Amino acid sequence: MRELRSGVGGLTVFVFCIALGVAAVAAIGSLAASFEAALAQQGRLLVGGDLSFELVHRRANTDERAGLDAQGAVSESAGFRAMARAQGKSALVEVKAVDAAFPLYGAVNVLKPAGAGTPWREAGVVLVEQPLLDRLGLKVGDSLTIGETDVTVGGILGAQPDRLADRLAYGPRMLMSLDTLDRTELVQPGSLVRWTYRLKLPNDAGQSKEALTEARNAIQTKFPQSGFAINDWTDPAPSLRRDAQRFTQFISFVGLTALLLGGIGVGNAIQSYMAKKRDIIATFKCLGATSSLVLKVYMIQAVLLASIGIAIGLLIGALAPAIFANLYADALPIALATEPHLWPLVTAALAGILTMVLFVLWPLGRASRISPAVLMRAHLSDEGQRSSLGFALGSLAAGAALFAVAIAASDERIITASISAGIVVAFLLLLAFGYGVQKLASRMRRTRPPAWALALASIGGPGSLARSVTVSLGLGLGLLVAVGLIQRSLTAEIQGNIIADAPAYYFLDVDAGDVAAFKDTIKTNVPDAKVDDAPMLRGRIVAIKGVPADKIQLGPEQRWVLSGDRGLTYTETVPGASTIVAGEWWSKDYKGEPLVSFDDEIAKGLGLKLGDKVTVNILGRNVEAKVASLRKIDWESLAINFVMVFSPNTLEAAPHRVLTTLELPKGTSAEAEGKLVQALADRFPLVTAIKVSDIVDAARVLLGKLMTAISVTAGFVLLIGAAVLAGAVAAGQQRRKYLAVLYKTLGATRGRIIRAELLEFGLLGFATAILAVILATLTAWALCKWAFDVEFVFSPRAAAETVGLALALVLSVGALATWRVLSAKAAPYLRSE
Amino acid sequence: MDQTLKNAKATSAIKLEDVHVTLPSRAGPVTILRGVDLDVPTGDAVAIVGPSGSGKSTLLMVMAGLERATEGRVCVVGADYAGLDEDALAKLRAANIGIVFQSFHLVPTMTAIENVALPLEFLDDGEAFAKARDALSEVGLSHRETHFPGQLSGGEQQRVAIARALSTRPSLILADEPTGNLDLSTGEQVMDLLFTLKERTAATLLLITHDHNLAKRCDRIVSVADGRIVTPAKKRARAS
Repeated sequence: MRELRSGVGGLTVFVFCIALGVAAVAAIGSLAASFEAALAQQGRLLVGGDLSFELVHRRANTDERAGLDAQGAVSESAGFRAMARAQGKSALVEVKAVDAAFPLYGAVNVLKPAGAGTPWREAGVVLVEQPLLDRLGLKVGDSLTIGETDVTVGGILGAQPDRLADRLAYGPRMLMSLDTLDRTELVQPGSLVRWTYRLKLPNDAGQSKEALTEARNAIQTKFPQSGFAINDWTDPAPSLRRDAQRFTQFISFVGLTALLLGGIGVGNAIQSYMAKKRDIIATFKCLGATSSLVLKVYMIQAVLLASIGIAIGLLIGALAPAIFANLYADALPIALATEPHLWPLVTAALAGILTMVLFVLWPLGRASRISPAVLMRAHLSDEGQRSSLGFALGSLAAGAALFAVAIAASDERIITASISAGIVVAFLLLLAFGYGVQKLASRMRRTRPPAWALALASIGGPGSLARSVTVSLGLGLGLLVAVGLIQRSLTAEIQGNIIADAPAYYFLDVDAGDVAAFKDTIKTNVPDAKVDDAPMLRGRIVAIKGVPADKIQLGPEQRWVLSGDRGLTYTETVPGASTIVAGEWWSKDYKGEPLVSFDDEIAKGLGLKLGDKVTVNILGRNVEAKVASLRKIDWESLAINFVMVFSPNTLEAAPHRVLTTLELPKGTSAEAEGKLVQALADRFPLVTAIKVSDIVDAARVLLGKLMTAISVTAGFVLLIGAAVLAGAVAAGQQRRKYLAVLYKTLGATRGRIIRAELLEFGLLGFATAILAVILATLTAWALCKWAFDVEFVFSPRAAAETVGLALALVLSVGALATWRVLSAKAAPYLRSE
Repeated sequence: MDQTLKNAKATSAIKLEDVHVTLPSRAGPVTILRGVDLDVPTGDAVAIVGPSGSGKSTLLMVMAGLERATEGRVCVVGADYAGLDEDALAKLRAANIGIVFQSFHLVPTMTAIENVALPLEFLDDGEAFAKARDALSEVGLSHRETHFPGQLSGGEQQRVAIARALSTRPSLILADEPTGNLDLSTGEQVMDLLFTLKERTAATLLLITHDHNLAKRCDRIVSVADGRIVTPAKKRARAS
């Protein structure tokens, strides 16, 4: 401790780096924990009950309803999309029609008028979200048409329970009663309506997991054919939770990278600190201190400083959910649980300590072995000295433990282990590149003019900054470019390939008998429009090869197929935008056992082969069909296509509606398009129009948000990198000042020295940026090809921005360093004493 | 190369008039030189002797333009330092002054030949490396051209430093304890070399030394104590 009094100048970087690294890990962990905690805490509100039972297309029959009622209080609701019309305009709305028991938990927030009570329970009155009023030019109290009836806007809908359980919304929400729903006549046989039954167990029994399982099993056993999709409040949004977990897992690696980078900064700082302490250590040894005492003295200092850094990092991490919730309250699907979470902080602290040991033990070990003879011979180099194998092994063990913690904390350990290896390889690659740059500069050192020679000598010579720059900035820059390029490729795919060929509209719930009239209306308004249609039903896969769906173990890529209901159709001929890769299509008048054609990739994921049996619950009936063919589908065309296509004889008799797509000829004016949509809405009030560009826009916005989140984390890595670089430059500053003084003594002007310094930093920044662009391009290309299955698009702008950013960062650090170098007085550096 | 500066001819290579140097320190201003007058004619070899802390090295720094005089006039190779900024002083040094230090001060990231070529490159001399090679040959180190300072012995490093100081054929050589870090025999060899080259180039030599035997090889000896010249410069018989 006494030794620490002599000053810890230069160790600010030590504290800063460890604080930022720990903050990154703690913040990411805390945010994920907040999200999970929010799901758990708000589970009942999110589900809207203790359990929810969902049916698609059909309402629960009397027996089913009685079975549900026997379990506790039940609230019934219907969810669907429809068109709201008023004043010659129409807009897509997400409707929820509820009974009098709604809501079982929580309350509906009516934003306007204040104290409105429960206006939606009144027949003919609806609550709507503000954007709908804006779109239709309405205000509270006005009326609008939905389906076959006029309704009054009774107020503005705010937050409501079970919002998360509803599907992704394409339009503003509307809340109405089941009585109002009846008036609309929107519910027809085969209409795409989701009927949800929320159940509240009596006497707060829903608290118990056993009671929940019991209720679930009771319904499943009693109604094995019902096709209920069942959720309970303990896991209210499984798919959202899984998506969040996968995202967290990815971003945690960025956090780990940030921490390791911070560790490098810590290592650099401790090395230059120990170099300054050389004489003091030698003096201690002359006075009788042992190597282990010296090690203890400096280890205590390192631990104290690391503790300060870790404490700062943990504080930032603990506050992250609260800060995030404040900044992005509107963008989040649920309110985050903002109180600090212990485990992520403990993990982050442990990771911080292990990182500190990984990067500090070895330099400290080396320093503790300094010979007392350095006092006698100032020029004696300690370069040749190496700490014993023990210190190196200790450092390695800490590194291994760090990765072990990361792997142990992960659900997908093989992927985590591979990514961990990838991080190590990336660091080594950058280190090797830095070494290569140093060697190359050393070879090219005779290059004229002299400013180049000086810069190259500095890059190529001992004490070169090459490795510091490449390692500290390479990863952050690479991440930023990779994110930029992937986003560019995905956006290009959405905008170019998808929008260009996609239909302009989907029309849901066209009555089979109205299809001809519907097409006529389109042709009358836009004669060259292309219209396509297909019968549309929804069903859930309940068994594959006789194994019930809930007993089938699937990877994350396939899980979604079994997690809810899927659209399905029947047709006599092979649907467009798909080709048969195995098996045969059924004949036109096929009358045999039910057959199904499957998407090739999904069939592989589910382990389905030709001839296997799949059981699908459609409209409360289990249909078992044999896989007759496998198709390769071009989903990006957005043409009508289905994972499962059945032989007509299987589904013809089931009540269903028709899905229609509309492709408008190029150059169709917005006016003509609006007129057509309005004409359809007027003539077919029960049909719902979904504009493809709206969905694509929503997808683009979501993609943008995800990419921003990753970019922010990558930016954090870059910030730590800049701190590491600044630390490395600061550590070598005395040497740079000495060289500048020497050059001045030998006749170099300040201009020449400035040019040489900036050239050195600029060259290193440029080389690092080029490497970052190359590595990021390769990574982005590989991910686009194999993970996202989209065409890779290189963005010169993203690359140029990276080069610019790298130069800006390195030159800023360099300019600061140069300014201080130039102001150095000659005499202190040149005197012998 | 700056011909105006290079051709500056003066009867006095160094002329100091009432030079004072006061430097700031934590304990307050410290006066190091207290009114130094010195006139070194062109071509002479002058030794400056004196105890540690007497101001010898500061005197050399002032002559080299690396330290500014707080008061007084400094004229070196015909240039009055009062009118020159830092860059002009750097150019003046490159063209006219070669400096040899006790600690050699070679650029550690550069090889021997690169070190020697450096001042020539600062003068934008297109034949910098050819001349550097000749200079290294003059000090007998042709075989060490591509070695880094860390790979050379102390004596070799000082010979490289001498080659570097003389590579531009300066009219003034300033040497600050050039044998201070060398053993006796190597020191003698290095000084023989320095004097030989000084004679060959007809340069003026100002040598700071503790070694009276070495001082005796100069034309004159000037004693400095407490920031003042205590023994007026007096002409001695040429030692060699």
